[in-house]
Amino acid sequence: MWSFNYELRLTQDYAYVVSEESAEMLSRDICIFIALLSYELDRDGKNFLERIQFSEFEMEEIENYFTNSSYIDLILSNKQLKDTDSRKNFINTLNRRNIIEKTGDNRFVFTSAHKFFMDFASDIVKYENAEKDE
Amino acid sequence: MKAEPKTILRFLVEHYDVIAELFETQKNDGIIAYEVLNQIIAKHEHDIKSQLIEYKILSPVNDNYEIRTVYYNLVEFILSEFKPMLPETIEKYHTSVAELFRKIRENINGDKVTLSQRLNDLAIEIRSFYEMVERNTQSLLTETRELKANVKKIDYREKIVRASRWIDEYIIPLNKILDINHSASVANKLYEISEFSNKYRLNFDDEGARVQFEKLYFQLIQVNDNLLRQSKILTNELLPLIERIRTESIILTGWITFMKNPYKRKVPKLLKRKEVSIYSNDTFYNASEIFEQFKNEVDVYFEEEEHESEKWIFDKIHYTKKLKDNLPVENFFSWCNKTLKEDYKKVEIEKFFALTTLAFDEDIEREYGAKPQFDKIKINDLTLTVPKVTINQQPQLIDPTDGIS
Repeated sequence: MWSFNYELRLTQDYAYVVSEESAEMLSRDICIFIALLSYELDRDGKNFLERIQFSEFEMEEIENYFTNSSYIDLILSNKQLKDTDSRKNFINTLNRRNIIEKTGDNRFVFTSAHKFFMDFASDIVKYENAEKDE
Repeated sequence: MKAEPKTILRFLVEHYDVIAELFETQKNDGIIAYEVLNQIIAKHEHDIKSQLIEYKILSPVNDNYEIRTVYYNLVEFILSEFKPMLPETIEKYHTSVAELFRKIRENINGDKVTLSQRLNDLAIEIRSFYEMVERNTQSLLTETRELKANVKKIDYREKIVRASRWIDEYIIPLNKILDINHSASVANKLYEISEFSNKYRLNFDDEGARVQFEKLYFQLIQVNDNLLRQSKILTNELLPLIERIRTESIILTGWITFMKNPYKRKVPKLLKRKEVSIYSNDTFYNASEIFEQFKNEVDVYFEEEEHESEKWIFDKIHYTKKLKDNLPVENFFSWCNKTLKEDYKKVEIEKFFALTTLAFDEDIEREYGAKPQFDKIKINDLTLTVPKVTINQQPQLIDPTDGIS
């Protein structure tokens, strides 16, 4: 399906347009952000899928996870995630991109768009397994 | 065995630590190696090896040892530490229960003593079937919860493997065993037995057997309730829990793999935001270019198309009347030509043919000569050869308008 000359993909939970001109840097940073958050939530003994899907996050909580993460090298090397200010900006970008929805100054919930990235993560495993099988 | 039962029990209490450790060893390794046995006994500073063998708690297997099943089950039960059993092990009850039931049903009027014995055995089989199911659900639940909390710090990949294996090899087959709607399931067999015993508990000549059927019936009601509960635990709690562990683990494994090398991996394509400002340095020129196109207007004239002459419609009523008035007509076709020439200066072939259709009217009587005669009629540039047809006066010529209005 096409919309405004872009390929429109529809899934049960979200719809998105694909273009050859892609914002790869942003996409990568979003992946890193969600990957880190999922990992830290799980490490904290939470059902990360449920939390991301259903509950609200406060910036303070995000800050806590990011400053104490064992992936600190990765965080510091990333321009959009390296410190509190850049993370705040990044959250605003996510908001503009409809990946999150701000519910207050320092609060937000994830939209169904997060599943796009979760699907990507499970595809990594499937892809790797398929490679191994070959 | 020479020892008194109480002596053995006292021995078990006194040296429970040793036995628990031996149990743990066998649970993990499947057997108690000779050296390990010595080590454990030495650690607890009591040489009880001879008693262990004398009281038949341990039995030798080659050079190694094994806890006898009775004691093993006892400790397992006390500790509630069951290993999930493959449903194949539980499935065997289907055969034993079905076989006993078949024999009871076939020899219902046979020897009462054997019947009583069989009913007893059936009750025991059912009880141990149920206990095994319960133990299995419980142990699966414990293991799953442990996996969820990840006490043993298992790798995510391993988690996926385990979760998938439990689903495919334990939970789904176990559920099949408990599925009462499945004709080959144990639960279905139990239901059948329950119906059977319900019938005979009320209507059987031997009182002892009646009491036994009654007992069996109530036991089965209880067992059915419990099985239903186990089945619910499986489908409502265990399956979703383990499914979630599996999906979560897959996603997390994906993320962890991704984060190992986040800058080298292809990421999903995200639409690039482009801002196209309508104001630019060239805006003025772009706009004037567009407007220039409208500057040199050329007058455009449309020529009106000539109206086509109105379509001629054959007035059948008018011409039928005319024909009727002119009867008899000696030569029909030349009459047509003549009539048209009177009405219109120019005769068109279309009009001529329309008029000639009058000759085919059923109410008109046509006459042809004995020999066919032909006329030539000239219409514009066309010369038609037509037969000579005479139309005579009719006694009653029906007006074609009749019946129309």
